[in-house]
Amino acid sequence: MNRADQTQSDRNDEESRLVARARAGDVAAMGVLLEAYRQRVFGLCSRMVGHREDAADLTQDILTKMITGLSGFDGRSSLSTWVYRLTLNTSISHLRRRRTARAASGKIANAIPGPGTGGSWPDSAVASEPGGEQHVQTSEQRELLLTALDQLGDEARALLVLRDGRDLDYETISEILDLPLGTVKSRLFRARVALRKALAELERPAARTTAQ
Amino acid sequence: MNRPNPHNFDDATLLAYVEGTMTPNESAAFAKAAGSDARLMASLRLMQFDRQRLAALDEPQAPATLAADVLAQVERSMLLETDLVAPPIDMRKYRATHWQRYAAAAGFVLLLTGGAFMLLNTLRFDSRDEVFAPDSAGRDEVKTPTASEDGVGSLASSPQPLVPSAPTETEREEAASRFEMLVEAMTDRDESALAAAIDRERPTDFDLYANVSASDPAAAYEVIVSRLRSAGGDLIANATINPSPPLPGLDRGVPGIADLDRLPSDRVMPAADPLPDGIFTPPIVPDDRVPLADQSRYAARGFQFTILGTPSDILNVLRELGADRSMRITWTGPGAPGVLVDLAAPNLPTHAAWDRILLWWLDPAARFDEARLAAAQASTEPYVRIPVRIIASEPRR
Repeated sequence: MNRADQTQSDRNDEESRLVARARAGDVAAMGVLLEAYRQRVFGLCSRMVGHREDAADLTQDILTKMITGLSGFDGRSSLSTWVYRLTLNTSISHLRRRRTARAASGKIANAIPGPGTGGSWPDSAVASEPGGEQHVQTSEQRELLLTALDQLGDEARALLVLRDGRDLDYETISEILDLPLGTVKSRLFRARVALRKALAELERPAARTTAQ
Repeated sequence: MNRPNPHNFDDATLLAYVEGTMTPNESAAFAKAAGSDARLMASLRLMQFDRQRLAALDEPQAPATLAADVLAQVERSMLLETDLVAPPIDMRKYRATHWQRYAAAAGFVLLLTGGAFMLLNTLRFDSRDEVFAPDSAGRDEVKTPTASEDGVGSLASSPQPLVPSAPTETEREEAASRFEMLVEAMTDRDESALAAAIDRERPTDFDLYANVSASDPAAAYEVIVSRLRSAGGDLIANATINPSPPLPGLDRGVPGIADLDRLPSDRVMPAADPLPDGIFTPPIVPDDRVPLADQSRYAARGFQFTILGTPSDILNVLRELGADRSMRITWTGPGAPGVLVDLAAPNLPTHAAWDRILLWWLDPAARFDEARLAAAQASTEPYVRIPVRIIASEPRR
């Protein structure tokens, strides 16, 4: 076992101990787990639903479910896998409800939201963070990317966020989404194609004018 | 969907190229096969760029209080569940079950009686020592049902001093007047006890601590109990009064607060708090206790004591103990459970809203000295009694 594997193993052991303590009602252990997953859950949630306030509410729900559901956590997968699955399921349910509500209120459910329109990520959610290390993206580029992401189907968005946003490997994604490994790869590539298409549309001024 | 794949590469292969997970040989073979297709290669490069941009997206930061909010919510539900599983010691189960609303009135009478003693001391009746002398005729008279029934019965409607030697009519009126004033003041300041005694239309557990200043407090308590029993008949046959042990440093010799001395027992209460280390625990049926060695089967292990003091004293104690924020307090009011996340916060409810308070500590034993210190600093004024349970999160070895 190499050092990285050993570190991961130690981390898993520590997490297992924390889970056991939390299941026994140890409030301190619950606090550690909550703190460990707070950012991860919120990050995934916010990329999935695109609204900071909604993401915060959902994260609170998910973390509560995480703690109260620990007694039902069987340990067959890692805790993170379980929590990510919980996060995606909750986020997708929320998105479905939102679409239904929009449709019911007479809005066009499938409209392509332009930058700054309802449902897109507010500037405040990203403005305060340091820029990426590899690419300095302008706010317009970020906006386009997020808008394109928002146009994708829920599963495509989840695949891209898990892979590129959270840097998870295929096996873990396969576990989270409960899909065969080959299916994950296939759908992930299709998600990349869909994203490229959406970006190409958004990056063309003429296309944007048409969309409006 | 337009697929940039005129060469029938499978999705996994294209994905591997975009994500750079091909081996050098696979990469070379792919470049050889697809290299001439500039459009495909451009699309794949753009996908690589998209991937990099996605990875470089700033991650929105979670609200700082999110975890704490969730923890508070979870703890609250835990505490409520804990109450269901392991309720605090409820002394009603050790007493007669037929206490009805009459008990409330009886408790009130007891309170009035205690006030009468205070008044008597204030007035410095010459006959006081005789009243509480063990062999005095007055005490015997009080113990006689017929005689005391008259006395208490009239006390309820027209308070009279508890003296065997008949005072003059003037003295009686004067004492009654002062007594009413005194009782009125006590009523105003002791809302919690009165609320418990009067407002609840259900069997109520009375642990009244009468503030009696007398040359022989023990005898005074006995008189009070005797009169109470006489007034209430069978309904209050099990009434008890718990003479509050005086605490050092308190000049009135009345109960202080947060006395945490251990009960000298090797047996503990089952089902609630396996380690009732507190004092003031009203009569516990010995058979209902379990040996310390058997406590392992109880999930909640804790300490129990009683904070006895004035509302402001108790507030001070709680704030003192919670100042280090190592503790959470849950209080349960009539029909309105709540959680105090920060004990030192100014939103501690008024004592009138208290029904039960649970202190949730990680290390109860380490806090006992602090409780003592807070108790020693307490002042005295009309007091209420708050049973407190401290639950340790870790089993006590």
